[in-house]
Amino acid sequence: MNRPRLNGRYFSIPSVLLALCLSLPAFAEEVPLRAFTASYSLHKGSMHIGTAELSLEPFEQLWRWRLTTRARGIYAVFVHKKPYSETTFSRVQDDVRLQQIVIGDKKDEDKYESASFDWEAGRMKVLRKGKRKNVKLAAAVYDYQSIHLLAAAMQRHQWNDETVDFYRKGKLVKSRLVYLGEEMIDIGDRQIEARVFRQTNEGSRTVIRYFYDANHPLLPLLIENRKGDDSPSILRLREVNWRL
Amino acid sequence: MSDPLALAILISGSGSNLQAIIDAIESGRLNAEIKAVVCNNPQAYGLQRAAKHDLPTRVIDHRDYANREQYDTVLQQYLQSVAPDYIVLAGYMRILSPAFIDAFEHRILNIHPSLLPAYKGLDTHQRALQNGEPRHGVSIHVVTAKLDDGPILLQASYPIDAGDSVEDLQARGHDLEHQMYPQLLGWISEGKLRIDVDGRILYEQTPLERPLLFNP
Repeated sequence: MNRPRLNGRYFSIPSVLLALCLSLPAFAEEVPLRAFTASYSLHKGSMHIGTAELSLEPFEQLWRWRLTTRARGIYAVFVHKKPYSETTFSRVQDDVRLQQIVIGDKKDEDKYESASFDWEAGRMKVLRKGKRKNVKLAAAVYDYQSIHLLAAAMQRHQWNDETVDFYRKGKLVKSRLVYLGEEMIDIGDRQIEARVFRQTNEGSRTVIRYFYDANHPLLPLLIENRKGDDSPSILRLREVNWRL
Repeated sequence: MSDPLALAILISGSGSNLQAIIDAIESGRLNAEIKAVVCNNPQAYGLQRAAKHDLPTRVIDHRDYANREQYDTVLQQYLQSVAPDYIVLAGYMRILSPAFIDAFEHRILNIHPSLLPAYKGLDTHQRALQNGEPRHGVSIHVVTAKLDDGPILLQASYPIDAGDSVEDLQARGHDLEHQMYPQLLGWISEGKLRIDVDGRILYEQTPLERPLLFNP
């Protein structure tokens, strides 16, 4: 496909060129952003084990994804977690750039993890499990939340198969997002037209399927996360509030 | 020789099934004429394949339309002007509206990467692997308003081996697909397989009670 893109193989060159290349637009046309808060029910197999809330909102001069998850009822006794994650990003010349990823658990400070991106210097500073490290950036980076931006761009530009650098557990791995097609899915008492993507990550057996609202390409209607033979974890949309 | 079967082929991507049909026509194995190649994606490689063979192409980009009904109305009008005997879905990655399917009832064919009725919908290879299936396959069926649910005409299966990946299954399935569409369309063009206006399916003058099995 002919489009400007960021790719690691172009970057065996001096860092000044790296910074220049990193500023190239990733998307020919901007994916429009609109703030929303969506609530989800969380299922493991056939069990309803919790709830989650995903939001996209402007944050100072930036934008921020935020996901919080809560175990429900009896499951809260066994799952001593209140995990949350935030991904802050900017858009410069239509290019989506992550600024910071924060992952944590309100009940477990040891689970705190962060990654800060310095695009001018071409590096990411990671704090994970109390250890700090620097990771070199070679191309645009996505994570489990900003991946929705990539999916929206793929829908907008009809790209079917993209491999990108992906932040996972303090490292950058190759991640592949494949557009599978359209499907009608049941959300509440409605059938909604969804565009379906499959994500796989290098070095991981987890397969994630994202079902996006065809009329709102940034809004996941359903996210199915399956590791090996385990029964999948499923986030299913309950309600969405769009903000002006 | 009877008149060639008039086909309209709908694609969204690389068009490898389109190529298999083109090759079968050009080699004389299939008595058919491709009246139109319609694509919703202007960047699809299948359009280049069609152009190389001087086939009439039409891009109807769904992003230019406010909703599915508007898009399908334009698609329907164009296809009615082409007047194909059959509309062949060959990697067309859009849901068709009930009104569109109704307009071409019993004349839309689809190829689906599973042994229908198992694994309707998307991502069939991944789902079959996850469920530890011993076999997977390919089905060609008549399209009805219900997804992947119309009468199954032709099926082929292949084994899933330990350590197979999605890509392995896709490659095995594609090999079969590229043989199955020309075979099935050949039977239709010869009159060996007939789909009546009321949807009744006859194979060698006998009602088809179960899918035909494809043996490569």
